[in-house]
Amino acid sequence: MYLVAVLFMFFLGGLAAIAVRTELLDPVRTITVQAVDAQGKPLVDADGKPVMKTEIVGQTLARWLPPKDENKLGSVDYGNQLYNRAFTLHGAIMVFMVIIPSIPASLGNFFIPLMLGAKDVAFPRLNLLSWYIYVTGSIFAVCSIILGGVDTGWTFYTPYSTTTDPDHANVVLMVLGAFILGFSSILTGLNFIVTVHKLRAPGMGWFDMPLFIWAMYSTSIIQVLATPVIGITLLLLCFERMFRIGIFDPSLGGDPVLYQHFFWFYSHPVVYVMILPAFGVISEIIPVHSHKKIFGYRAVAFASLGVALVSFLVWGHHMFASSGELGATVFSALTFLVAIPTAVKVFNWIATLYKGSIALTTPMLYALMFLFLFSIGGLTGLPLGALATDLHLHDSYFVVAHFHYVMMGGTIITFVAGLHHWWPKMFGKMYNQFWANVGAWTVFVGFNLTFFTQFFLGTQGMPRRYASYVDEYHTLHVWSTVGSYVLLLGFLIHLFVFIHSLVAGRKAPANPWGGLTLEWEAASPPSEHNFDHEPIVTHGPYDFETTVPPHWSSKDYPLPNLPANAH
Amino acid sequence: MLKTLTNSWTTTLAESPQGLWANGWRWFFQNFGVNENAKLTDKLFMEIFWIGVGWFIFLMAIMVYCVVKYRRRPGVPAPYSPSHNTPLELIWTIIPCFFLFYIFLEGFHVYIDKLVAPGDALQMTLTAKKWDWTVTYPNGASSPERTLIGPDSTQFGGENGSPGARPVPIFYMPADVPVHLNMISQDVMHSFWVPDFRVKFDVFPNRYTTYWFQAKGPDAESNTLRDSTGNDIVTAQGEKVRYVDHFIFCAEYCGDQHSEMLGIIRVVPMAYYLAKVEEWNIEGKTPEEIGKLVYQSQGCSACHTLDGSKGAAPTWKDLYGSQQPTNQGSVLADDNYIRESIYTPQAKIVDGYPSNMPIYTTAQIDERRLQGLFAFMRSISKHAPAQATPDATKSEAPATEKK
Ligand code: HEM
Ligand SMILES: [Cu+2]
Repeated sequence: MYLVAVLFMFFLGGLAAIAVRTELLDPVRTITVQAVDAQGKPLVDADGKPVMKTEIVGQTLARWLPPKDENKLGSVDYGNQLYNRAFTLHGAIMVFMVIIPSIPASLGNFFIPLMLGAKDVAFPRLNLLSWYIYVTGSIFAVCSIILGGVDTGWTFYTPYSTTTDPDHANVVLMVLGAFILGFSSILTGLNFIVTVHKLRAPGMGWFDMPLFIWAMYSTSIIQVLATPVIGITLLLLCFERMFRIGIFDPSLGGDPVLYQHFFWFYSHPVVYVMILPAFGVISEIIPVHSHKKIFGYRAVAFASLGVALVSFLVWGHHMFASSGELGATVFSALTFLVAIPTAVKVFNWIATLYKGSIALTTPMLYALMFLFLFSIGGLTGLPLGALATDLHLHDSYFVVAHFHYVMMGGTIITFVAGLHHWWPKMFGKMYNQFWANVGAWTVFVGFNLTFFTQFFLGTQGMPRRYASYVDEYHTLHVWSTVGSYVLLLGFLIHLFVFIHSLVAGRKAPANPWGGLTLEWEAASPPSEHNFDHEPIVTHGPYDFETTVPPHWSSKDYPLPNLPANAH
Repeated sequence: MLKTLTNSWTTTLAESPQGLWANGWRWFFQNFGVNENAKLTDKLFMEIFWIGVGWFIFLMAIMVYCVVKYRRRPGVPAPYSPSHNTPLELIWTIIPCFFLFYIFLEGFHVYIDKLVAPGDALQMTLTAKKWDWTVTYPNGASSPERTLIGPDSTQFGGENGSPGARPVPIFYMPADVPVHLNMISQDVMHSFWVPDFRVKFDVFPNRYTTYWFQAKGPDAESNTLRDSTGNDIVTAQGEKVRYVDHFIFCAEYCGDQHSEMLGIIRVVPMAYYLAKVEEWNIEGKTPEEIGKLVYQSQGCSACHTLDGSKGAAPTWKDLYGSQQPTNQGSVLADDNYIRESIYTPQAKIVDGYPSNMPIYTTAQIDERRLQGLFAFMRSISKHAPAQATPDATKSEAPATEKK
């Protein structure tokens, strides 16, 4: 259910992204051309000088969505308004309605109980409630879009967000939507924490848990602790708008920087809410598809908790360009601290590949793609964390490229990887690997074309959230837009592969990849109570060297010879 | 999309990068830093870049090697290998720490240079509003000069004309001396970014932030200033005036025309800068001339037209003395109404326009300038008493025309 809702929102957010790129392909602008007569002959005046006239061009986007008021069609303002609404829509949907709930809510709800050997999450009804809350929040947001949309950006920075849109309805609806979605996150988080504590199968200690569970556990902690802050902030924002109570708006005696502090105190940890579950998924996929025990299990597990902890201390790095020296310096130092556990994880994953038995299945292809893209994303965080370079790069396309590499290359790519990894388990059907791999490569090419170009745009000085730009940036913008179309094509291929699988897919075996975690013991798809009888844990989640995977025979899966000193 | 200042790239391209680290700057920055701090920033960026490239290639090489070397062969198990190695894990935790610490320190170092202006810097005020910038020079003057970012404007010496694009303000700045801007916003947050200086800083409505720079002056290769007929401007000594332009972008989202909120910093020799600033000084000018200067320099021209065409706000042509339909009923556009519209614009909103007018303070538009505005508006209105416009003919030309 969650999966369907999230995928629908992903589709909506994706449409907005394509709209954004289309505007940037051909921005609405005024140019001057030589006037021509009815026969198409250039006009000249009495002195033989050409007659010039101005023309507005670049209506590609506006032509898709013509304004109600015909006269506005030709105006630069209309193009800009469309653009500003499109990027806000894209950002808000992707962050609040897709990336945050994607892995936890859709994959987590399904697989946390399975991996723990439980029948269901601890509070199934709470879970259902959080689904209804999610849908309610999304409906608020969609209403706000239908009523004309919001142009504040997903960050809702004050005082812009409290003064734009005179009839209040849209911004308030959108903000309330985000507020309501917050409850869904909190409830999901609580539910997972209790599930992990209480419902582990007999024999499963903390360090016998799959790393996916560790990651989800860390995520849940952040969600429960940070989400209330944004809840309050957004509520204050609504109060300020509706009752003119001065909190953030200086004309009412408030302080806009306060809003930024509140906002990022939540929204920075939240970028780790987005990425930690992805780390968890990768920690599952890489061992299973290379039949290798994960390297440094404890380091990976503790790195998750470490990231969760430090993530609360770095919110200020979004504000280097707005606040003073000492604060910025401290936040810069702390920012580099988060890079360490993250780097450690990447090293562990790559070390896991060593001496493995690596199959390039679609999930594995995506996992490797994740390592590639996420490394770029993480490394480009470094010039942003360094104060001097950030003053140049902040709010430029460089930041846009950076967070797409980490959030899209990190979370969305991993979500797709997880979807392919667990698809047979969830739906009991296999999919066509060849076409899924074609889709994966298309996504990879499209992704890099779209976002790598944006690093250069950023360093050359292209600011973020611009509906039009000076000529120097045109070529790179064109490439980026072409890339986004390729990316769209890649996702469409996946859509068809999935539909084909549901309609005509081969029946999936219980354990197609040879995984060792408990979900692979259950049938595909699992029966109503997940397991026929309570599973007992007799091997670690990654003991590929000593265990034949469930439902496999030792003929298909010969075990390696162990050296005498191996444990 | 607007046509740009091609000259700002080319003037600096000739310079060579600093050493090996800085190689590759051309892909990233196109032009090489225009002052010491910008150069340091580029150098630091390139250092981080090469560190990043090194790590990336190292990791990806291992990954690809493993994927090829250890690909799955049916019936062959993965050989045993240990899954834990404390020394190795410690090493790869500690080594990145050194790199990170180095990057942090360098970033801090160059940052402090960016923040702390030299004590002897020239003090100016920068105000931002939706969607325009104003610089107030030490003598209280502001620049009324604007250009369409388009190749038609004579300074840019391009091929085709393009009136219609938005006129952006040009701020003349003296070369090779430090300049210190005290920045404040009249409405929402903005952010002042000059990519060529590699620094941006946010502009708030409720407190001052500062920005300083020292820009390298024009050299013999730089473009020359021309007047509206296309002839080179020469100083009293008979020298051509050369200049270097740098873009200003707004880097904090601020609404519909955020992407048109541009400006140009024009670096000229000190003598020419002083002459310009004196020219714009309101001392010794008629009220009408003062009004016109205010119209051009305070950003009124960004929204109000003078020729009757519809802009983001009501045109000033024939406004003075007319009846304006507002949300408080019809109002006579006299001195009091205009005064109110400037200092408390929300009081009455003209039908058909959003409440978009920024609030001005008496510090920005003092009594003398206000009177100037009245005089100027009278001079372009057919509803105003005739005797108030002794030299009306003089100001009939559209104000966007260059001086
Ligand atoms: C080595 C690790 C990382 C470092 C050092 C780093 C550093 C930074 C810094 C300093 C900024 C602020 C840039 C600015 O606005 O001027 C930033 C922005 C951002 N980062 Fe990262 N980052 C890292 C990894 C990540 C990860 C793992 C994610 C999420 C999955 C992420 C998501 C984001 C987002 C969403 C923004 C932009 C927010 C916005 O302005 O809308 N980053 N990063
Ligand atoms: Cu702005």
